[in-house]
Order: sequence, then C-alpha cells, then structure tokens
Amino acid sequence: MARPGDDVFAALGDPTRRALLERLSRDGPMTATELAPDWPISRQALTRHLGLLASAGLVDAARRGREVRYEVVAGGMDGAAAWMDEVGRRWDRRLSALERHLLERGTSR
Amino acid sequence: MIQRELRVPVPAGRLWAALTDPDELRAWWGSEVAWDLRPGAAARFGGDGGEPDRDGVVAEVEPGRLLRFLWWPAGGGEASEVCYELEDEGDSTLLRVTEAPAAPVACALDRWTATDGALLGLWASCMAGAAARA
Repeated sequence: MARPGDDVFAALGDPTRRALLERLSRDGPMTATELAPDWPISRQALTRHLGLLASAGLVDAARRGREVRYEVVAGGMDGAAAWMDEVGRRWDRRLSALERHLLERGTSR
Repeated sequence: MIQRELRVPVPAGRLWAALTDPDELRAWWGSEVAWDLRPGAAARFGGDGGEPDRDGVVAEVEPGRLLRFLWWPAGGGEASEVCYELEDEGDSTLLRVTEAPAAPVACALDRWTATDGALLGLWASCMAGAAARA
C-alpha cells in the first residue's frame, strides 16, 4: 500500500495548519486577509502555513484579483486517512495478540 | 501518527520481555524477530498477519520503559518510526504504541496532538464541509 507523501503528514503535523484546515472546511473558501483576524500570527507566517497546505494538496490556492483564496480539497486527506486506518488496524491486531499471549501465559516468568 | 494504548495486568518487566524477547515474539507476533537492543543495531522482523518482512534499526532503548525503532519493508520502501512506551502501574502496565512516517516527518509531528484520532476527525470535518457546500 503506497503511503501518502511526507509533505501531507508534515503539513498535518502542525496544530495551526490543522486549525486552518478545520476553519476552511467549516466556513468555505477564504483569503488570508479574511483569516488574519482570528490568527494571532504574522501575515507572513499565515501565508507560509497556507502555502504548505497548498503544496501538500490539502487546499487549493486560486487567485481572485489581487488576493489568493484558499479552499479545502475535499479528498486531499484521503491517502493519509487510508494509511492511518490501515496501520491502526495492524496495531489493533498485534496488540490483541499480545494481550492474549500475556493473559494465557500468566505472570509466571 | 497512529497511537494505540493497551493496559495489561502484568508488571512492566514482563511486558518488556514479551515485546523484545525473540522466543516471546515468536508466540504472539507470529514470526521471527531478530534484534540487538542497542541504538544503531540492525533489526529484522518476519512478516505478521500477511505483512511483508521488514528490516529496521533500533533508535533508542530504556530497558523496561521505552523502545524506539525505525522499520521499512525488506528490500526497500518507506520507513516508519515505531515507539513503545511502558508506564509501570505496579501490578499492571500501560503500553503506548505510536507509529509515524520516519523523520524528518516524525520530527514535525507533535506526538500527542497529531494523533490518528485527531487527524481522522479533521478529515471527517473536511468531507462534511465539502458535502454541505456541494
């Protein structure tokens, strides 16, 4: 199973970027100017975060006149979600087996 | 990153043995695991549950408390970082397992907030938002 690119996980690893993604998914496409009032960070930092989300394919950046408008790409996280699902299930299976093993063997070692 | 917890009614030393001793692993992992518990030492994991064999390298060891290693499909493939953390509770032990794509991504991930639970919740929000505006 192919793993999504590191850029997707790197983009999702930052709590500010996750919050931006949450906001854009809830309220629809917005420009950095519209987002800025709710983010106590520099405009430079804000556009850098949005740029990383765009490079990772999680948002689409479209120029609207003089501003760029950012819109969530609905399927952008699909690959990451599928990977997390798959790997999570593997560990569920392994930990069940480990638990059974420990309970069967008892504490006699 | 993936994060799972398991509480077992055995002391930490017992759990550590189950996680690291090849004889124990053969019983529950289901295939051969060979490794030296020293940072930098090579590891080899037999495939489990239909999974491929994996090669790996041990990254960090605190006997009875923490084991961190990298692994990747034998013959090549993308590497992940796996971490076992054991919290001694006396008669029981809490095991926390995390798996994340290997560094540099692992460095970018906040271990405790960028969990699969949080990320899958966010994914659901993105899908719901798109559906609402469709």
